[in-house]
Amino acid sequence: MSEVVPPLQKNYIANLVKKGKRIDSRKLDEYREIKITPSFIGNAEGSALVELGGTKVLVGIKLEIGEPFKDTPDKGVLITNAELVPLASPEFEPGPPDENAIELARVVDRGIRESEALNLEKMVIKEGEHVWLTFIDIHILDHDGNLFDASTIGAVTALLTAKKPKAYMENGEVKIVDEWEPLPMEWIPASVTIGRINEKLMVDPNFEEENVLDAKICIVFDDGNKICAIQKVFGVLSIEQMKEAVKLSEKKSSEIRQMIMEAVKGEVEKHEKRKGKKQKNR
Amino acid sequence: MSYLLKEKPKKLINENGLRLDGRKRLELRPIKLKVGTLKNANGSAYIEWGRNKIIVAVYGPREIHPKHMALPTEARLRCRYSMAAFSTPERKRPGPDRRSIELSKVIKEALKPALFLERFPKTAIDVFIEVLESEGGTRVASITAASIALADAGIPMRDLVAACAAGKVDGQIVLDLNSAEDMYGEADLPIAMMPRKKEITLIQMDGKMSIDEFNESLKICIDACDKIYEVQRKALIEKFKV
Amino acid sequence: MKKLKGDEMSKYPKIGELVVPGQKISSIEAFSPGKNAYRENGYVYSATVGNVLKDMKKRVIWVYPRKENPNLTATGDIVIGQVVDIKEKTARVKIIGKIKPKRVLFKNTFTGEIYIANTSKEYVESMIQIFGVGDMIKCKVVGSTSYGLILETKGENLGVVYSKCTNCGASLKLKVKGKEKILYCYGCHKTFRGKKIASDYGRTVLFK
Repeated sequence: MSEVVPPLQKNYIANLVKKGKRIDSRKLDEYREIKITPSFIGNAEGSALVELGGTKVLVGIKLEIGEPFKDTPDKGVLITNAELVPLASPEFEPGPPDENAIELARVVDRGIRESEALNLEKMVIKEGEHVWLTFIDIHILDHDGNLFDASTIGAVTALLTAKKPKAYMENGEVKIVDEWEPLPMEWIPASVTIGRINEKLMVDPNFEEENVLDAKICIVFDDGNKICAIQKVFGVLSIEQMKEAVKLSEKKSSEIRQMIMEAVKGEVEKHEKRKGKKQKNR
Repeated sequence: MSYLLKEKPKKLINENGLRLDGRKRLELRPIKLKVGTLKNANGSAYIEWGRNKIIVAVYGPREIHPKHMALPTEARLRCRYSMAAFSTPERKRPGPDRRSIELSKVIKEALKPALFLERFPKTAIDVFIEVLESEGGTRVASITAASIALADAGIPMRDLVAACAAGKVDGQIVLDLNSAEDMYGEADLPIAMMPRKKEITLIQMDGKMSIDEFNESLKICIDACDKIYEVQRKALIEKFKV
Repeated sequence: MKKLKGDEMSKYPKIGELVVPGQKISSIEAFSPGKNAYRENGYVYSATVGNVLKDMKKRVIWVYPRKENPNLTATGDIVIGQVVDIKEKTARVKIIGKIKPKRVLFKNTFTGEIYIANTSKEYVESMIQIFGVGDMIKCKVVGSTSYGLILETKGENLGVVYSKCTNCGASLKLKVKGKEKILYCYGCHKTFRGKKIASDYGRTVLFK
């Protein structure tokens, strides 16, 4: 479908953008409303529901104990998986992840891995034998554009609120105690997606805009103002546009980071309460 | 959080007749039902049933692909029940397994009698069910939400479909089993029905029950379905009033 | 026809009341079922979420739906689609939305077919002459077959609303030369004649 609509709509959107306007009456550098609900799933060690305008993304963190990779015996394992579930959009089909899902998962993974947000060296129980496997599962529930940012916000929030039990080695076996601690998070990455129509750049393109964009790029910043990942999704950008995009995303990423911090404040307390209740249930 | 408390609790119902989550024998978990929660779908519903969190989307009637799947005289109803990787205490591998394929089938058969499928020949109606968090009884919660999502999509229906489970735990008949009772209880009996004509559209059972116990379970299930029907009706009225 | 007594009346929803699928709305003696209603065992039930309405003259009860399924098209609707395949006498159209009675962008595409006799009031030699693959066309639904919807583009306001140059891919602009309407490509200065062009070529916005 999306390949048919553009010609009829592109002029309309492009003309608005030329005047600095958007179809949903935002400014070019304005995000849609971001709503973050941390700790949405009780069964997950950490989770977050992110609503970015009409886009809805649910991210869950699951922890397991397993073997490290051979080449990094002193590091925990981080695995990111994205599901474009067919209820989110008529364009998503059931079946194994397609290239879009894999790209999405890898971009989110890269942002978190490259920024060293999660200190994987502290996720080791016994070097070379037992480490924590951290699964980040991204579930797209409703697709209204800009899945990259919503997923990164969700993954980071979920990691920040996640708790793991203490584990140690005893007589060659892993023992787990009922004492929960937060994951060793050190940085807070935030991603900003920027679209280009003709000469104009805009942040957070929605679904209709994404369909007619000339180029889309996703830039991830950590909180030391360093770029930690870039993914050009499609299209071309000139050097000037690229520089402008980086500047724009630096500004926007700090705003997003503040929202994440706001959302996870006081989550620690709630988590304790919930955990207590859950154990009573069992 | 799956590493702890794996063994079976000694008692699922305590001496005061209260269950592990503090409910009485014939008490439903709290149900929250919201209509039209997704933007893209033709119809959608979100249900919180205890700690079960399920979202359902309906697409269609739409052109069927591949074309040879089309039925000449009626619409093909397709269901996809799937669980998110983080929905269970142990991480579930994404993608369909044998259990979800079977559940997709029985949910489809539970919803089918309520629809006027013959009005849309050669098309498909797709029902997508995503279990975000599970705590026992996801199939009945899915059916309850799916029938609301179908109504929200404006698809003509004979009746809503309400569903509930009963079972036998510690020798007693209880309503609406949670995951521990499902796992360690003696029997589980999920039922879906069209409340108006009291027609049962889904019934499954596993475990052991005497005929008397079965009859009692059936009766409390039917009563519970009437209650759930009220919840469904209220949710629809709430959404569409003015 | 049996007249209902007061207390029997009050069992059923009043006019305008919101009902859900499966709700009893009348007995069959009082009213016969109209749109979105059905009969069963001597009663009339609602088949959708909507408001009960009665036609007292015809003694018909029906339900005005609160949310109509936008995917359903009826005869007489005006739809927009893309020509995906052209044969000598027919063209296949991928329908992406409707603009009458309501502007809706379909969540999924539907297939439609247009026969050469239904394209224009004038005689048309060949389908290839009036449409090109990739053209967006506005057409009217006149029926449906097992294959898909049957479409028609007779009339001033129906026909091609957007087209691309087959040579360079730029979008074509409309030029009116006297009585003749032609499509002109400013990129490679090519002219396209003989297409069935809608009166609002280039100005149609499918949805805002």
